[in-house]
Amino acid sequence: MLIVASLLAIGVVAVHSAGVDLGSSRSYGFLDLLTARTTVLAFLAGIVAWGASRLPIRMLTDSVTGRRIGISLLIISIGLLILVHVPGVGREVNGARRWLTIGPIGFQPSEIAKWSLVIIIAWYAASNADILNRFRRGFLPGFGLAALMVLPVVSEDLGTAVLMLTVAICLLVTAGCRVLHAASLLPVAMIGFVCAVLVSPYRIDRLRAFMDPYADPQNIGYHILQSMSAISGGGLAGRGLGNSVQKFGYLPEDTTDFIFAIISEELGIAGVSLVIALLIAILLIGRRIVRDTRCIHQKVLVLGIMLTFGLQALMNLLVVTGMAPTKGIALPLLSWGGTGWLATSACLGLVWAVDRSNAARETETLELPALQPEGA
Amino acid sequence: MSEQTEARQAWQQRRIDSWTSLLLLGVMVLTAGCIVRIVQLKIQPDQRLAAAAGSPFSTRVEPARRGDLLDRRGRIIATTTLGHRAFIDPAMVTDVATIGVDLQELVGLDAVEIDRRMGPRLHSRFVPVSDILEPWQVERIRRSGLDGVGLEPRLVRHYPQESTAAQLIGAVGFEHTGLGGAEHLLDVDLTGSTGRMDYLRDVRRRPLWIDPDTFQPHDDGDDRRLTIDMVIQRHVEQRLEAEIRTRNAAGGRVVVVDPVTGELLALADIVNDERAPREGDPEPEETVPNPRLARNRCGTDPYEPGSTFKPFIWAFATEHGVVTPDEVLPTPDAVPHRTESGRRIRDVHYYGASTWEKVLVKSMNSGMAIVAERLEPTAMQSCIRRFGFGTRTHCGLPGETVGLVTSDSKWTSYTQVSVAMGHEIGVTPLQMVRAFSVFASDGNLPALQLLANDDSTDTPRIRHRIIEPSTAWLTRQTMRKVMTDGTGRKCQSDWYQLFGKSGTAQLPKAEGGGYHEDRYISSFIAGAPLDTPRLVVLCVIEDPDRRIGPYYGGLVAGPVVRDVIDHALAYLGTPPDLEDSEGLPDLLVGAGEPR
Repeated sequence: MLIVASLLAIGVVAVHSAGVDLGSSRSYGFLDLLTARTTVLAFLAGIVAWGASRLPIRMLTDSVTGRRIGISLLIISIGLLILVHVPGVGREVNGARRWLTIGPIGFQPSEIAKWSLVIIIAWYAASNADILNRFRRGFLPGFGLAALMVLPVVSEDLGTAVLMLTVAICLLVTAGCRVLHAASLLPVAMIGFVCAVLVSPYRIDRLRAFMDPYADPQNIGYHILQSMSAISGGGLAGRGLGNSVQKFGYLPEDTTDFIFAIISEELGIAGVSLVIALLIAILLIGRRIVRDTRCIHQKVLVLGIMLTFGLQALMNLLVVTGMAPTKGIALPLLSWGGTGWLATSACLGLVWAVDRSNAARETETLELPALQPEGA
Repeated sequence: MSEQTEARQAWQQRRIDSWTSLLLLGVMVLTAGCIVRIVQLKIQPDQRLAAAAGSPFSTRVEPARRGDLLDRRGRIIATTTLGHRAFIDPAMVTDVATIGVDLQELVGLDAVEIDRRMGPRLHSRFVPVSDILEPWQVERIRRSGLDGVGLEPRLVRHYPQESTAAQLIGAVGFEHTGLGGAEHLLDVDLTGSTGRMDYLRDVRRRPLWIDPDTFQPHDDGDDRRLTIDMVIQRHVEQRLEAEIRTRNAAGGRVVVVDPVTGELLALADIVNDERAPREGDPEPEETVPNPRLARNRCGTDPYEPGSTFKPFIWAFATEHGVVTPDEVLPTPDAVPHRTESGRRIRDVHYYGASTWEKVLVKSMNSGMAIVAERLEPTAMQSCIRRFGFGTRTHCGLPGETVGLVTSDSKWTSYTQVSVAMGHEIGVTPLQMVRAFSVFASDGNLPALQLLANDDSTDTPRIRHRIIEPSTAWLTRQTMRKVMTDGTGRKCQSDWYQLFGKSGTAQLPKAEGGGYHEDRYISSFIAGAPLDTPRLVVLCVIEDPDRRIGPYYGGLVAGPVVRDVIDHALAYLGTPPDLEDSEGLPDLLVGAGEPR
């Protein structure tokens, strides 16, 4: 929890630094930072994580409740993803329809779908553990569930779709599906991916920019070059907190997907190392929780959350450092985004709940032998 | 739960644990691996990255203000202000076709000229379309908010004294560097060092902050004070120009110097452009586009001094005992004197046997020839060199020449006699006033200077003693008699005791050698007051029109010298030293007309 809070705190500071408003002439004090929307949301995310950790995880992961939750999430997620395309409710940002606006609240359904899929697959894997090694009855329905949720996302958010599908397949394989079964669908997934790329000219441009950003530095290569320039800027020591140069309009999406570049520019290798160390620490703790958990459902759930978290962070780092084509993938807990912060925190809260459940079980186990001699 | 189910669950748990380790460790390793890439980007980024990403820093150059040129009393001769000229950025203009007309209506610029300038440069982002604008034009353009029209700040050099001492002051070029005169001479001092700063700008090119490490403040150029006094200079120019027009002369030069300090107080050089060319005149020189860039002939063009050169030989011969002032020389009474080599030496008037003093007072060529023949050639050459002829004064005037002095190897008895009369030698007006100052400063040759010495702790300039103070005084007294009894009678001052010497030399032909029979260079050099001289003034009038009036130095150049001395000494507050004088010369009397 401390690590999550640290990442959220770094995120708040970095987002504030990157989001300096040039048009405003008013000064910005510490009190403003404390009462800003980002701070309030980060605080809220902390509460959500704490709240999620108090949920009765054992009850939620039994077969009946698990199925109810899984089916509910499936229907809600798909419903929300379809709603995005309904005029008046769905909102187009940067050329993609990813946003839903309901009253004063705006959020990305794909963020909810991403975490929902983990919960659904975890329930599916746990409840069908015996038959997962079969292709038709085990793997294919699981894959179908994943595909059902991924398909509405593909057209607007290919990056998230790839992440969701990867996590889903990894979870299925981990839970018992055969690698060969998963590999047999790889050509289908590849064809789908290529089609998704080909139908969108901007995705071709992003690929071209990734292959050679210097070919057209002012257009298609601009984003990735500015990101690399930001990381490069300031040298190993960095320019100092708040001293980023790239944030003044040069690096697009500097508060969201490319916040890591600004952190690198301002805080240098120390800041970068701290962020990466915190990310890895979360994954290490997640791994320990998975091993400590006896329940298959909880194991797969925690692994799914950790994989989604870790892979998303990795994909973001690869994009920002120019080692992968640009795609709209946020750095979890750091990139500014209300839905992302709340959903990620909630899921990490679930992991915490599992850990608490493990601790409670161990306590029970330790106490039992002490009671037996008395009873005897 | 059956054993089989338990075993299966255990197997499944182990499988999940293994896969979890594999997957999460894989992600962790790759995530940690990103640090390597980040370090590489920070330490050794692709060489193309900086150029391709572009620099968010811009450099702003802060021009240094060029120092002022001041006259000896601190009056501004040249100063720099900030002006603006209009430019157009065609890419930002709403309608390129009408922008010229808009500017014409707004501030009166020529629409046709604007279109002509823009025509070939429509793809440029900077097309200057005006010269320096008037303040009201700048204000109107600022208020108009015309898209694509900007104002470029530029340094503008002003010369408040207008054309006075134009060649002496010189001018600056487009880049504000000195091109001629004092502007060129003092360019290093006047030019400051340009300041610069790198500032961060946002993507819309709005400046954000200055990088403190790169900030170099500009350093304005130093002001420099000249020895010239603009009041004296203006009077000299007006008086000289009036004389040139009256005499229909080809041109004239006047130099005013403080003989003790060597400071040049005025340097005037006027060429009469309105005079019709006469036969034998040199081809007119190519007109200089800016009159400020014309050369000042006071330091560049030598002339034949004629009889004004006699005092130097007279003083030298007297000091070395070759002749005494009272010695009666066998000068002829009616016919030209014949030298030992048989050369005939004419005088304007024949006075018969005369004293050495009378020789100078009456400017007798025969007497000069007799004494010249007594002198060894080496002594004569030494005399010329000691008085500074044949060497530059190094006063700072650009392009100064050494004059024309016959070399020792070509020196003949003919040269010996000619030089004693001021012929066969070319001197610049600067050399002439420097040498004449010897008589006015107890025999010391001053170092001429054009740049005022502002630092009082500076070592005084070295002066060389050329003749004894007694000889200088004797020569001065004898030249006083030139003013009272000799060729200076017609240009005596009503207030000051001038001592001087006139000179009238034939004008050398521009081509083919020899002299014009009836064309002359009239000159006069004088100092005053007699006891404690404060000024030495030389006037050279070139080719005064004989058909209009006299051509003798004492009658043509003499009155100019007198008027300049009267005016300048009164201006400097020097009390008159003539016993029967009344009051002071009226400084307000116009200098346009000779008295």
